[in-house]
Amino acid sequence: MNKVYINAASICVATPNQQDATGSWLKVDLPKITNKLLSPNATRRMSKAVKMGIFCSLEAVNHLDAATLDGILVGSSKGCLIDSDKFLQSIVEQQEEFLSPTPFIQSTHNTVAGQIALLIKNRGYNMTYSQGRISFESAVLDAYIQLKMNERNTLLVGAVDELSDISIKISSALDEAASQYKTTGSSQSEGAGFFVFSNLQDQHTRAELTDISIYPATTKLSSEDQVLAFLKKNDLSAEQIDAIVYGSENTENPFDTSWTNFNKTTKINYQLLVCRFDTDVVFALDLALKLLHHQTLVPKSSPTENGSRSYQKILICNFGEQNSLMLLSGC
Amino acid sequence: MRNAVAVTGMGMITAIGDDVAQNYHSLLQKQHGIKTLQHISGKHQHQTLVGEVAWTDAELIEKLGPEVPKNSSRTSLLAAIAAREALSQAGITVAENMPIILGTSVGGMDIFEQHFPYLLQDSQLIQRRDVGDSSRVLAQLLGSNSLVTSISTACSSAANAIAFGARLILSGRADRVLVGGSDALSRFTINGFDSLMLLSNELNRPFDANRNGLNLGEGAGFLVLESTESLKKTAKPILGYLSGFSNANDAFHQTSTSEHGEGAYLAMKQALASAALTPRAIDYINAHGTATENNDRTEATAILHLFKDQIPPFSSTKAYTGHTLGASAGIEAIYALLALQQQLAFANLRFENTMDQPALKPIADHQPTAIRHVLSNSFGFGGNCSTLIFSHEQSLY
Amino acid sequence: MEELKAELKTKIIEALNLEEVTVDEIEDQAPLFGDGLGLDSIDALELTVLLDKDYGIKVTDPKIGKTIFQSIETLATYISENRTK
Repeated sequence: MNKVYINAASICVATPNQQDATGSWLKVDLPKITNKLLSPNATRRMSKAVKMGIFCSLEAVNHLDAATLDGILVGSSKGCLIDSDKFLQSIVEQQEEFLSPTPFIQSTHNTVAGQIALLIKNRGYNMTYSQGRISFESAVLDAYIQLKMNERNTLLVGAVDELSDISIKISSALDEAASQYKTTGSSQSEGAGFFVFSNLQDQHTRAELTDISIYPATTKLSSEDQVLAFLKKNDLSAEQIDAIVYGSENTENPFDTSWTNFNKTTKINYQLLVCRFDTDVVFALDLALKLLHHQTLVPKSSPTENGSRSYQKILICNFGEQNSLMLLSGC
Repeated sequence: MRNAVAVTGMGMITAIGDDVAQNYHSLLQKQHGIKTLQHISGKHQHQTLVGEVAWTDAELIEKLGPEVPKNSSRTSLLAAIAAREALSQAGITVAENMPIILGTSVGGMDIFEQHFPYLLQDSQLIQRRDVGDSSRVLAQLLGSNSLVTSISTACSSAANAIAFGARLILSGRADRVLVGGSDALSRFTINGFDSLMLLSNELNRPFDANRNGLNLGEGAGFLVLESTESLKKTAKPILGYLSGFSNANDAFHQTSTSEHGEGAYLAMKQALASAALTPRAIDYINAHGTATENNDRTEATAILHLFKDQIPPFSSTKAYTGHTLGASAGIEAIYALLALQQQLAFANLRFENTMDQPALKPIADHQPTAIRHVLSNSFGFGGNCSTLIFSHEQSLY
Repeated sequence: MEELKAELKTKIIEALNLEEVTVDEIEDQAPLFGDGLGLDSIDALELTVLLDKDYGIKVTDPKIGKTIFQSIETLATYISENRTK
């Protein structure tokens, strides 16, 4: 069986220290996309989600020969919210008359993956998953299986979720919904992250994705037992995991209660470091890749050269209605 | 021989029937289900032609039972009805250890938009819009304890859901999966297609020279796929095999297909390759055939390009059901399987005049014929093109 | 007529989100599609909506649209001859 590597990463998120004093909703400050592929004519209809997706995609595939990319997989919990809201609002306000088709065209969930394909002229596999907080992991699982089974060699996998003013307005007005979002301190935000997954190792290889699993939280086993079972399947024990990077849908810290097997493991709640969005697990993956590379959370100017590598195996846990586990190994 | 993917259950609900048997009967009788819109108020009600499922939401809930969560989307209700039929045929009472993959374009838009101006009064409705909420409700109704996810690639959603389910089986990650698609009509999609000037104000005429647009439809179609390895232990009847699948992107335009249907060509070609079949092995094509000027011309061009002078009988069943968007590939997968079972290629209703460029003719009447392999196309906005191949026998796999 | 042309240019820039184009840059005779402004089929639909909404003109046949939407000149002429509001 092939191994699956992560050869490039690019994310676009808001971090808590960017947060202004008033806002509990924080929009991502999108870097200007400077690329010869993108004329003003090409970007004029693009919503934030598409722009974030394209920004990260172009960065991630930067060193790649475009011909070697076999496809694009995107996860998005809410899809293209801004255009979807815009079209809904025009239906209501204009009573179904004189509707501009552009927001409808741009509202479909697969707009991001489709636009990336259009831009880089990729006729390969093109896929969009949408399942709340595990939207990204669904895409990763699909890519992982294809790369393992040698169906394809190199795939761009990412996730994106955007904020829309109308949805903020609706949610903010609802105490219940607002509390659902305002949980572990950081703001509700938006963001994107794209990664090049491949079964071919190259000089850019950042890590190996050893395994991935998605399963419902409502099963009989405790979350710790499920993690142990996942590790066992990969011939690993709890002690062999150097760090756990975790986040969750709600405020509960899964490590508060039990998890006795992982007492000595470094645990990082990634959601304290990033403004939240449904697919913010892309930040966790990027963080884990950085940790494998720099061997510290506070990168020095140059990575540790000779020191012992204390971070070799990192487990990313995303807890929610369905949990996901991604096991990374340093290369 | 490697592990293969067998179909052991089918379930559906469309404008031409509440289950597979009724759908087959309507196809045989050439009975289409396109009428003026009934259930959605506003400009299009009693005006626009659609393939609507006759039952109201309340009636669907009554069929499903009291465990249906409050304000469930019509998309999830239709899905649950089709899914239960598929599970029942496969002899499965609880969807245990069985990933569920739903393909849908707009998810719970139908229920969300009804409350859109007044959403401030009910928080639960916000989450109902999410595509992932329809699958969540479906999984809850079916008692699932495994992976649940959704695919939203516009009109090819269900084909991709079926293909992903097959991958879970072929990779050994699951022995059986429930896969398919569901989409309810919504004011959002009706107005969207209207704004694109793609709706016909007549009964749609796929592949006809005088076609002038599509009729939207709604419904759901689900399959139970099982690993042939795990089926060895049982005597369960096998309805057919999913022998090939593919996914390619046209990379041409957000809503139109390229002049030569490059994405469609690639999708069909790659599906054949994955099934290790040559074009000559295909005995019937259930085409995407939306009856828009653009789709039918480019799809026919791609068919001609691939099959050259050996074009198999082909037809679009959207003349019966309307274009059911994210559900269409699930519904049409079942029609493809029925064609295999009954050895019958279904008539392309209302075909009269042959297109020029290319001058390809769909079959105007039902055609009894030996069918070993059926190819089913589904293409969508965003350039998404997917093809599935269903086969009678596993032997060629 | 000159007034209508100027009005059209402003409306087109707004409706089609042509952020980096100014009214002065659009010439009356220049093709709107292809080489000129570089508009595409989605823009043609937006122009159809604009005609209906602001001038009460319904264009249902895409072939007619193609001749009307050639340039600002052809568009203005058609509007002045057919407008109902």
